Amino acid sequence: MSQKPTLPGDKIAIIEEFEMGDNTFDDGQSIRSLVVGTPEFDKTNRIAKINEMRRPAVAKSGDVITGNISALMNNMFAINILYINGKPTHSGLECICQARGAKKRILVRVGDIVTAKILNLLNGVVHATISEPELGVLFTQCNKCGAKVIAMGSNIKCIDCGYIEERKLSTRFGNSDFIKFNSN
Amino acid sequence: MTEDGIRCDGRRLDELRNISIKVGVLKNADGSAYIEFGKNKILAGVFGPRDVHPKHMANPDSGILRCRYHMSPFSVTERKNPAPSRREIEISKVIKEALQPAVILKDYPRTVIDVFIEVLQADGGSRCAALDAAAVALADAGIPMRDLVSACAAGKVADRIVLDVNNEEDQEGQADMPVALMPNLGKVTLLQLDGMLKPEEFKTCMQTALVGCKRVYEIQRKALMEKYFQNGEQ
Repeated sequence: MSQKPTLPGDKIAIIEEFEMGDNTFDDGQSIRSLVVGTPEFDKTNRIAKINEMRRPAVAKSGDVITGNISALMNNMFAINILYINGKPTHSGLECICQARGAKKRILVRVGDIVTAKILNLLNGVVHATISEPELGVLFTQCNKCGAKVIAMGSNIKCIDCGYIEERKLSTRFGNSDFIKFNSN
Repeated sequence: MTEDGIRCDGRRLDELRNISIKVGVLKNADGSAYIEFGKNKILAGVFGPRDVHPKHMANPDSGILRCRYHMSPFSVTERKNPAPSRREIEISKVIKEALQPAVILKDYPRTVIDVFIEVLQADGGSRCAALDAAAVALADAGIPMRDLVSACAAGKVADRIVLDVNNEEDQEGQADMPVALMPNLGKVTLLQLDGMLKPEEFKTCMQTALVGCKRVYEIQRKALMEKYFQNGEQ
């Protein structure tokens, strides 16, 4: 068991002592580090993990992402990920949201800026959800005239033409700080 | 080479050229490294994991690793055509295949990790130096790796086995053998041989190259530690 900073390949423990945690692998004898970081040992559950110094810009389960809707299908929509936990990313990766009943309800439109939570990585596809109150549309425009809209319960109303449309709005709709992210 | 084993550049038979590595030299890359390996000056930049273009290259089960080794027009004495040559395409391929066993790609399906290597000045052994820089740049980008990859060449010059063949020895020598190693796991990821060696000479040459790889690893390690932990202290 070593507390020293680690580089990829460094031995941090032996398999009789601990099980593999995040950013580690076992070579059949030892638990080794996969990344540059510092080891952390959970002595209760006997799990060894590495707290990485740098993380690739790929969303993991539990991350909250912000992005724009790039495609809308019958039962799902794709989000082009722009921010992961508030940090900008240029990876160009997408995730998909299952949206049951999207045929009847308009949850989102292409171009809307939404926030979603990553659920898992399944069959090579990142799955996300917008079903929690703080998740959903952060910014949108009127589908008819492109003007600003205001929230009206679970709907939006255009301040220019008065067109009313349904959306799954986030509780942060209208006062989100994603514009601040954009200006950074 | 003199009778007492002093080489054309004043080194002993088992002596490496001066190596220095700097980590995180490119602002826009996810990970980067600059290596000076003797007179070789090489820059490596890593981008990704990111979206794959063209899309048909995407693998739904794992990420892919792409590698581009390129020599600048001013890297050699006569201007080199900047278009990728047969040699550069081959070296890109061998570097990719030498890095692939170390990089864990299955966590990033449908993505690509791009490694760009630019040789600014070449002086023999540039594929090994490029590989050393690329491995450090990958670690700097936070890409999960089973081990760093360290590379060093050994060869036969004037019937003697020498470590870290330079350009003159490469031109005039009898054999050149680049080797890449994952030092902690003790696995060889690259072995090429240009020239002819007897079985005994091959064994000695291999041992010499492996010793060189381990010395290079210490320098890679020190460079990464200096960047992230101020030489071991967090």
